[in-house]
Parts: sequence; C-alpha cells; structure tokens
Amino acid sequence: MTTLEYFRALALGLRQRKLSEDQVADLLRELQSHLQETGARPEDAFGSPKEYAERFPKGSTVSRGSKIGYLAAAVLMVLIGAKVFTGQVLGISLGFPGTLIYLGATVLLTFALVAWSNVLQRRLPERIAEDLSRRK
Amino acid sequence: MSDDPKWPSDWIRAVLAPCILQQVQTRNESYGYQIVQDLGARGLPGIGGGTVYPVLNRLEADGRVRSEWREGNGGPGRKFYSITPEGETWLSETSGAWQDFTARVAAILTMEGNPA
Repeated sequence: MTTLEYFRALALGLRQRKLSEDQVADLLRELQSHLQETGARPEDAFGSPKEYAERFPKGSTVSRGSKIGYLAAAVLMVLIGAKVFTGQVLGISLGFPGTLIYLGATVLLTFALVAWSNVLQRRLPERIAEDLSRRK
Repeated sequence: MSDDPKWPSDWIRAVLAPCILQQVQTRNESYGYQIVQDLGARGLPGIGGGTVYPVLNRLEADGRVRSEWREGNGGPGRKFYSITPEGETWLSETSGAWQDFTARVAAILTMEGNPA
C-alpha cells in the first residue's frame, strides 16, 4: 500500500467512525507530521488504516460520503419499489425492453451514487493531498 | 535481538494516559513523536505513534490537554500539547492512586507462606 493509499484508507476509516471533518483533517495531518519526522512507512508505524482508525472514539458526524451512500440505498429501494408497485398493483407494464431500460438505469444510477460516495469518503484535505503528491 | 521487556498490553493500556500526560507536563509542552521518544528513553520502549496519538486524542477530548499547531518548513508542522489545570488535577490523583495500588500489589506478591 502506498502512502497515498494509506491516507485515503485512513480517511475512510475515520469518516466511518463518524469523526468530524476537522478531526479527520487534524488526525491525518498529525500522522503526516509523525511520518515526516521518523521517515517510517505508515503501516509500520501505525498498523493497518482500519485498525488505527478503530482506536479513536466514535463521533456523531455523518459525512457527506455516508449521506450519498444512504441516498444510493434509498434511490435503489424507491425505484425497485415503484417498479413492483406499478407492475403488480396498478398493472402497468413497461414491456421487456422498457423493464430492461428501467432496471439498467436504476443500476447505473445506484452505481454512480455509490462511486461518488466512495470518492467523498476517501478524499483528503487539500493541504495534505498537495503535500503528499509533492513528496511522491 | 532486543532485550526490551515485553509488558502485557493491558498493563500498558492501564497506565499510558497518565504516563503520556506526565511527559507533557515535564516538558511544559510536547508533540507526539517527542512523547514516543521520551517514553522509550524512560523505560517504555516499543510504544509507537499508533498507540500514543489515540491516547492524546482522548486526553484532549476529556479536556486534560490542549493543543496548538505550529508550522514547519514546508511540511505539516507539529501539533504541540500542553497540560490543562483539569489535566494536572487528574494526573496528580491518578498518579497517587496508581502508586498506592502498585504498593499493595507488591506487598501481596512478595508475601511468603500462607496467611495465618
């Protein structure tokens, strides 16, 4: 795992523990400071990003990435529910091609939202991202 | 091969927060890597950043230390911690209680024969 990958995985872990964006930025910066001081690899000094994130007390902030993830789940359920409702209760059929397009669009939209959520969960504060890319 | 003693992790967990706070108080202010080095130099080697920073985070959340970032030369800088009055009170109480506890445990462990 590269240093950049480690930082992104840690950012994800800290957001999953519902730490605020300020706390995430602060902890990542402190990690970066320690690594610069010691020259160590992040995994050697701090263990796996998931285990390290779990050492911090849980917070109560729902990150933007998590909100998008919940939205993806809600969109999937609503669109599938609407399809079942219109077909089974109202008796409206889209036909085979229509159903295929509807389900395809549903899957695509859900995947897009999940991908967006994943990007947001792993993003690094600007200052840290810049510094890491400078040192690559 | 290192001759450093391997203390059970639950022993370390029990005393790490007051030990870290003592290092911060001794230096007036300190930062994570310096605390790691100080602990090693004072007989607790092998305690890394992955252990120290979460404890500092809890101490700060509990109001026992405060922190301040100071810029470095083009790097991320250093986060300096200093002890708060609440931290001083807690450290004094915890340190006293720990010494009392270890004295009692030592008395038990050095007992010879069966109690009358």
